[in-house]
Amino acid sequence: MSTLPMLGNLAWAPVPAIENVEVLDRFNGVPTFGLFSAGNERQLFWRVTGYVPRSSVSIWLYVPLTGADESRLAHCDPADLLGSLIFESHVPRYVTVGIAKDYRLVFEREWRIPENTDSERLLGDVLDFLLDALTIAQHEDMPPARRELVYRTSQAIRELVTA
Amino acid sequence: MPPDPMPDLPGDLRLTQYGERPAYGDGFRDRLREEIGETEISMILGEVDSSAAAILVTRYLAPGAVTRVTTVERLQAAGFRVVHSPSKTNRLHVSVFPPVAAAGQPIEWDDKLAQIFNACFTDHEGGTEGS
Repeated sequence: MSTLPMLGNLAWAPVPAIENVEVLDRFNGVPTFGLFSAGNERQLFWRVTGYVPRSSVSIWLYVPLTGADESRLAHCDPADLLGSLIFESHVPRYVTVGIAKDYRLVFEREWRIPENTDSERLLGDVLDFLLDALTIAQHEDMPPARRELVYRTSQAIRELVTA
Repeated sequence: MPPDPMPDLPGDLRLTQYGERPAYGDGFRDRLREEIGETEISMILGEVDSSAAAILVTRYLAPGAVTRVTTVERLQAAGFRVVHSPSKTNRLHVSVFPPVAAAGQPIEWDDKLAQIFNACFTDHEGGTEGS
């Protein structure tokens, strides 16, 4: 069973055969930060941006945990998870970036976060990556409704990048 | 584990709501969207500035961060239920729920209730009204 986030699933429970979700934080009742387990693997989920204006779109990051990560997490304050896994990582991390509409995943792509990426740079890099990915996606063959969704999402992300 | 919640919040305790101003976000949430899982309005215990609120809520210095402030008693006087509900990474998390009707059911969080909710806030740090 794949543990990659799949379209249509809830953004904080993004795989079909999910075994457990540990919610570390929430906002307005929605889990925004936590861990989920599926297929003998744990992944961190984090809502990078909550409300992209006029779109009901949110952006999510999924970080698969390695054995070394699990050892580190055993002695880590949950609030420091992002720092230890991403912002202070001395090696690149392979993650999945997801876009959710009304908290259901509508777009996902695998992405490589360069080492030592701080939080401010990460946000800009995520938005640039998504804009490129959505632009490429618009050239793919897809049903009209999905094409419209990809186009509108791309416009919303572009506005955020411009801001 | 999150710390134990405070059972009774003092009426004069200040509460901060986090938002993101356009074009970074939709301002302040002023109603529930239960159909997509937004079952409470999140607040922060005490008065914090927009940078501190952004770190608590988004985990980074989110651009466009804004805050507005109310008190427990202002919300309660308007009928809202206010509960200290710490998460594992935010011990200052407070949940606001809609007033309950005589039959015991929460009343609908419509435009009128959103206006009442917005009227509970007096101090803004760069914010715009609800969404």
